[in-house]
This record gives sequence, C-alpha cells and structure tokens, in this order.
Amino acid sequence: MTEHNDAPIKALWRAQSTGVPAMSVSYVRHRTGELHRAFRIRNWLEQGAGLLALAGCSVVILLAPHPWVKSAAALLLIGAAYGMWQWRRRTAPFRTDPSESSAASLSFYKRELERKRDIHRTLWRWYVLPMAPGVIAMLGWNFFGDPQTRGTSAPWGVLGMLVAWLVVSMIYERYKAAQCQREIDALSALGEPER
Amino acid sequence: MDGLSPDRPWDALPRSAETADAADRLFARAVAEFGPAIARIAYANEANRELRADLQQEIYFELWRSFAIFDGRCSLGTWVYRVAHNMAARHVTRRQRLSHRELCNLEEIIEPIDPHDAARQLDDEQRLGLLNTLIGQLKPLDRQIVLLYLDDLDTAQISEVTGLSMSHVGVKIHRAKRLLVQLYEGHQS
Repeated sequence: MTEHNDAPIKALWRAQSTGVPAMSVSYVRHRTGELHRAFRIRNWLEQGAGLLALAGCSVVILLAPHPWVKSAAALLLIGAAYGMWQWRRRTAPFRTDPSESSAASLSFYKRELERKRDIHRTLWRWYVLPMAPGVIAMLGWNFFGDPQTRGTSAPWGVLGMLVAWLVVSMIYERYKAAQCQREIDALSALGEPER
Repeated sequence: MDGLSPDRPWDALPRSAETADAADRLFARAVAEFGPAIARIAYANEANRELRADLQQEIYFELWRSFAIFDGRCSLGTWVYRVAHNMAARHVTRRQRLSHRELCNLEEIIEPIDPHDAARQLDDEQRLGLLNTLIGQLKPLDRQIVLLYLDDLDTAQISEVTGLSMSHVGVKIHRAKRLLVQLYEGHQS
C-alpha cells in the first residue's frame, strides 16, 4: 500500500467555512448573566412558595383555637419542611468538571442522568408522602370536626382537587423519568469506551 | 501553534484564574486561538444551522464558566478541546435519543465511497460533504478522535483530551487515516 497522505483532507477540513461567528467576552458574560438570573428567580420562587407554606402553617398553629387544627398544621409544617430539605439535598445542581477527559465526562453525565431519573421516580416518597399525615389530618377536621364544613360538599371539593393534583403530578414525574431513561439508553447504546 | 503542549514556553498560563479578569483574558485567548476549531466541532456535530448555532453558543458559555476553575494543570488547548467535545458529545446523545439514529464506531463504519470509484473526480465541496456524513455516523468518542486528528493533533494529545489510552487512539487513527485518504485520493493498493 502506498504511504497514506491525509494532509490535503486535513487542510480542506480546517479551511472550510462554518458560517457561525465567534462570540465576544462581553456577549457571553451578558448571556450567562441572563441565564443565571432566570435560574435564581426560579429558585427564589420555589423556596418562596415553600417558606410561605411554612409561614401559613405557623400562623395556623399559633392562632387556630382547636387542637385538631393546630396538630394538623404542625404535621403539615413538618412534612413541608422535610420535603423542602430533601428537595434541596437531592436536586443540588451538580457541577461538571471540564478538566475531565471526554470518556470520564460521558460516564459522569450518564450517572447524573440516572440520579435525575431517580429523583423523578421517587419524588412521591420523599416530597409528597411526608405531607400526607398533615393533609389527612386537615381533611379529617374539615370532614368530621369543623361544624361549618361537616356534612357539606366543600371538603369533597378540596379532596377532589388534591387527588387531581396528585394524579397529574405523578403522570408528569413518570414522563420526566421516562425521558431521562431514554437518554440513558441512548448513551448506553453508544457503548462504554475502552481505556 | 496548536496550544496543546503545556511545556512550551509560549503557552505558559497563570496557575489560577481566580479573578473574573483572568477568566475573561483566558476566554478571549481561547476564542482567538481555538474559535475556528470550536466552530468546526459544532459544524461536525450538528447539521441543522440553528441548532448548530445553539450548540456553539453552549460551548462558549460552558467554556467561559469553566475558566473560573482553570488551574493551568493542562494546556489551554487541551482544556478548550475537552470542554467543547464534552458539550458536543452530550448534544449528540440528546439528539440521538430523539432521532433514534444508529451510530457506529470507526471499525464498523461503511466506507464513504466505492473503492473502485474515481474519488479524484470529486470536488472539495463533495469531499467535505462526504467527510461530514462519515463523521455524523460515528459514536461520540470516535467522532472526537477523528475531529481532533483532522485538527492535526497527534496521538498523545488526542489521548490527553479523550482519556483513552495511546494504543487505543493509535488503532482508531489508523482506521481513520485509511478512510480519510480514501476519501481524498480514492483506493490505492
């Protein structure tokens, strides 16, 4: 076989026009700032909603006249606080290490997808379930304790909304978990690199 | 200058990029030296023009962020290539999930032209088209090896960027070379 000469194709490759201009430091700084702002706002909203729920429960505990309601609010508060803590712990953004080699980076990315999938799959257990005792106690008060709502359709309406929210959330989480799984499968199909 | 060898005196870098100014300077230097290479990586990994611009933008953002932790333990070139190829590999994986397209490694790839065909009659544009088609069929790591090789990196440098052993990279390059020569000159035996 003659000597391989791939210099012309390399030169051709490097000389091709890609049609996408490079970016300046100021533009990249501006755009990443925008993305960070959007991310921070979303976090503030999530944390803010949780803090509002905690504050609301605290007010009920302090002001409600009936011990049943106080206990239900306390259970809700504990459940919500636990859920928020778990949310922060489990969804802490992972940092990629750009200094890792490509092979290590792909393996790392796959592990991170698995972690994300597991968050979606188990959300009900550590986020929804801890709030169940408080919700059940509060609904129990509305169904059987509160003279204003006992025997009316109001508690059924609340229960219906809760069940609907639960079903929609579960479907959404299953969909997101399946989405992660498909990406994991695609990555697995690419094969683990030999070292 | 490819900027990959850290022992070169002209490639000396600050040990730490703790300040925003240092990160900005590194970023500006990376764009000046490796901007065309980044554009080619985006070009080879995404055929759609708009998605390609998005991918290139993502690479630039990740690169700029990454300089906050750059400590000079590897050369600027190695760092830039790793960040760019890692982002591109993730992009390919996400796209593959949606398209259900089968990707293969270098050993499995179907040769881009008939060996008995007169490859010399192809013009440069057609050759580039075939080359892009060939690259687009490869799994991310093999794709990186070919792209790095086309950017004229040697085996040791490719091994450093990809994390694969030099012997493994050597085998892949041997196969890639054969395909590339065939693409340009036609089959000669």
